[in-house]
Amino acid sequence: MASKPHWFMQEVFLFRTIASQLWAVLLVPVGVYSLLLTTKVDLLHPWRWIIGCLFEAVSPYNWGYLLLLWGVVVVGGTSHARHLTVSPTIPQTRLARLVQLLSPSSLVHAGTHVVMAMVMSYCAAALIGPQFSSLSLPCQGSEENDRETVGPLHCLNEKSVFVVFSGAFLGLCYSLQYFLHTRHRLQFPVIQQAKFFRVRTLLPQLVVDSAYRVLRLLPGYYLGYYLLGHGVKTWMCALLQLNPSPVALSSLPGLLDVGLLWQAAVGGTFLFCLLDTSWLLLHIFHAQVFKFEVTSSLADQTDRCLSDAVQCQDVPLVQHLGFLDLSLLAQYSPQRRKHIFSLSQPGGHPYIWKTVSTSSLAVLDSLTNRLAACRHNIGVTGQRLSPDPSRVQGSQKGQATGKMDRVAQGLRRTPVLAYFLQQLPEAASAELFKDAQLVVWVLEGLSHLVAASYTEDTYGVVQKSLPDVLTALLGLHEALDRHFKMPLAGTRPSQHARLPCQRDVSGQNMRFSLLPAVTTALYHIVNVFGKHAESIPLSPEHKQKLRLFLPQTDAPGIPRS
Amino acid sequence: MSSLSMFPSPPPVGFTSVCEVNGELVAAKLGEEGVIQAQYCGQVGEFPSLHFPPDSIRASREESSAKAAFLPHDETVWKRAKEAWYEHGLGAVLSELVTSRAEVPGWLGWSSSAGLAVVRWLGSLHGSLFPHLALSNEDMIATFAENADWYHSAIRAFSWHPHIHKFAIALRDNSIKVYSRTSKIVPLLKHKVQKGVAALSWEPQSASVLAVGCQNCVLIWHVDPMSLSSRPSTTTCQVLSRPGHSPITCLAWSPHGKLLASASPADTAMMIWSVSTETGVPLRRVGGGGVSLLKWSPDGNKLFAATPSSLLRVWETETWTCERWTNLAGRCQSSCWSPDGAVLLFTVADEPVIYSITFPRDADVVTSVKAGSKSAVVCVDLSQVTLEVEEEVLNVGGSVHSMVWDPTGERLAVLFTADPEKGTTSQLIALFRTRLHPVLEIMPCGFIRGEPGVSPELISFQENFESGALLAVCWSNGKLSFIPLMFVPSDDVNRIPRNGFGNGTVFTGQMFSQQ
Repeated sequence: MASKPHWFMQEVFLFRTIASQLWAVLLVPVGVYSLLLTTKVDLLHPWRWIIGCLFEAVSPYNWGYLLLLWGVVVVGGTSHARHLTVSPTIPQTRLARLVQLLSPSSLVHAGTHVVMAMVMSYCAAALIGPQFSSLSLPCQGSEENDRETVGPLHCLNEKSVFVVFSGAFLGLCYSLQYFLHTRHRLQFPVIQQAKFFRVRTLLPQLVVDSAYRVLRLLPGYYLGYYLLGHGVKTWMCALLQLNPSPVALSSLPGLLDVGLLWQAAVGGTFLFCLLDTSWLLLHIFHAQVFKFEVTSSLADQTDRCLSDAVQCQDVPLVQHLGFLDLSLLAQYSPQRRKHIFSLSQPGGHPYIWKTVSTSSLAVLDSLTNRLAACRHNIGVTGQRLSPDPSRVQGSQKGQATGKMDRVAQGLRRTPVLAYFLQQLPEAASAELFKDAQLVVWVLEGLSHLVAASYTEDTYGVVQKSLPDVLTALLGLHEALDRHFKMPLAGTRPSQHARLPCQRDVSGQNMRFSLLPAVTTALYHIVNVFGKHAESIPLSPEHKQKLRLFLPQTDAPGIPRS
Repeated sequence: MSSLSMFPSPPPVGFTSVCEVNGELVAAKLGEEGVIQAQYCGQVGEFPSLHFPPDSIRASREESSAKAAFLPHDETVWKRAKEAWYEHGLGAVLSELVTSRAEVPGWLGWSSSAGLAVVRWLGSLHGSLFPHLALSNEDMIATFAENADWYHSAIRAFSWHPHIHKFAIALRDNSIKVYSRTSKIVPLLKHKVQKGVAALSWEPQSASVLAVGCQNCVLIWHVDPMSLSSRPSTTTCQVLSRPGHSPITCLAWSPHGKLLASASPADTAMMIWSVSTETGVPLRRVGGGGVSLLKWSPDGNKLFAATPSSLLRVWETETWTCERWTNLAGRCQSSCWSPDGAVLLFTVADEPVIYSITFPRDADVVTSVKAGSKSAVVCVDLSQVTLEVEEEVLNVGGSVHSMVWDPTGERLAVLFTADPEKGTTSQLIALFRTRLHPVLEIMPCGFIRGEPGVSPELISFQENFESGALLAVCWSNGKLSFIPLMFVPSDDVNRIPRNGFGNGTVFTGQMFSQQ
């Protein structure tokens, strides 16, 4: 069972990946054209500039480079698709993060990206002009004047080496940032626009973003080259059996070359843009809504219904898309809602609603339980850190674990290890609210379904589960309310401190939308049911809490007759 | 088609409208309003009557005009240029550098005057396409804000809470006050970015979230109804901003909460914000030169967006595609949705009619927008009429400034633009009776009048009034009055009568779903 891949991965995932990479491949010539336009600005002859660049971009001379770039984009897209996930593992300490970065898959990712980026920056350099394209040049200047040797001497073109290695450095940084900023996490859009409009909005941002990131990284590369450039040069000379070039680049005057900086910046932006375009298209295609069948009439597709999708724990992406589809159908589609409220034939059982509501409530309850566990943990550690150690040692049961803990505590106090073993800020919170997006969809879907059931639920299938739904919502509301009142809950990253490259900010902020989402869900249900909400059988304490959401009780502590 | 000539005559001078009972508007003599209102409707509003004399509220001045009062400057030219950059952008920096040429190096003065010429030329080019872009920020807010006289009005914006008995008002001194029926505490909201407030809106399906459309950003307040503090702290405020998206003159919440749409007449993109994650998505289509008016339909499926030119759009909110309506006689001035979201009424500047667009009721979201009626239908004629009331001559009618439809879909209130050339007055609010089933019908009900010489500036219906509709009117003398319109909605006629104001009565019957 486990060996057989999920139908979704075989069909939809594959199709979406291929489609997105096809688009990325189609955009490569556009990227090349923009690169040529940027580097060959000729404002005095605008037509010659625009048309000339167009011809140059598609000229047979450059087909080789285009083919190389296409290959790189496809490899890059495949690597993005392999790492794509909706629930990434979040390292809790710096050590864990280091281990994650040194894991085989990350190393392979980094390696491929270094190679890809070198190829890309070489292509970019070659496309722009002959100055950087060749690794060797006929020697000029001082050595020619020596006249000791005969025939044309070949020297290393160090500028070309500089540019290609800048690509390698940027590729490595790209790979590092990819994991550090969890860019492999699939982000879902706020509103479900058509793909074209999302791409149109995000592509210009992406170019600016890439340029900004490259400009931030280049000083590091310059420093590195200043320190290590001589070694690289000697190595390359030995490798290619060339003479060293007369002007050493790894010196201050050598590096103060504006043309070289321009080339490195433009080439770097170009390669970041290409890599990011394929990344962006892949993410846009995979974040699309997938309409699952609510009921299936075909015998061989019985495992492809919405109710199977929302239960699918093995492939989290399918579960996410299932709940996204559920929340949208609950909001917008009366016809599909009708199927959810329908009864099975024969038998007359509300199977669909049962599965949907059960798996929705399971998601909510799991978060409530995790919140309770987290509160409990903090309570325990709070005690442990209290100045009275005898209380901890006094417990006889956990002697062994106590020892281990003490060793760990000791290690944590060593300055260097402490740096690596300390819990990262926000990591615990990020782990706790890993599936915040899923919970938000569950809340939206449930509240809209329950609200719609007031007028649409002909057989009263929802009515029976109303107490369960409300109990779960009220429980989650209380748990979240308590959690966000704790000082450890973390604060929202301020808007001004955000780097444009840290795209995961909305993922971090997702946890702050949980409490508003529960509140909205409760108000939505209560506002639709009005006075009937009071006659839903609930435990007295839940009834008391529900009363807070009824419109009459907006005054604190003033009992109304 | 109903017209203004079919209206009953308005109350004479010295009488103000206080309520509607038995299908007729009741007016009372000045000073007796409270008594008469209580006699007819009991203690209906339960809100205090508020009065903010315009003179008592100090208008906050623009930084530049305040600066002029403190000549001579001691600051260096660089500091002034920096401030000009924050306040008004590149053009202001250049003009600052040009005016203080003596203090900057020669090449900079020369280049900035050349730059200024280019900026002005580009501005005039752009401005000739879209004249509203040549306006200053404040003038733009005054032109496009819902308030009829945004500059001078003491109350600049007003918003009822969708389901709790409270409302918020924005005053001319950039503060916001929140009044609640049940609480004596009046929270006062002030924030340093809260300038030039043109729009206020409470989040539906929530008790505490208030969105404020300011000059440079959208400010989100969390006004905790349980809090006993009268000055809520600004630490919980969220600021939503995006370069180029200012001034914000219109806000609309999705009726299901969570999403907020904001629009600026100077930005072609309207923003859809997910407020809790503070992420915004720009929605942009070619044409229009900005977005001046947003109205989210009460069923949440459609979003109306008007532009400052003769183009408007209706978006469907499932996949966010839009239907364009072009060839209007002018820019769309006001609009409103019917409670079921199937009928859209709108008016166009300088044209004395109300148009309606009907959308199919039981189609799915995307096709319902695309398959709406192919042309907008004129449903009310508002051409100018002359009324004579006890020797007083009133010219009423002309172009509409704003209109509001009550949440039961039974009453429509229309506010006119005063036109000194044609001699029309904006002192009267025209109130219509409306019916949605079987077809849209709009019939005259009566004129609402305030104190002598005072005109209404903002009108708004309470969302959750129990026995009919409650119209809040902000008058030009700074008064805020509540006019209850007592009627039984036709939907409710065949149902169990509502039990008045017996709040807290527990409904002991069994639950049942309809149908």
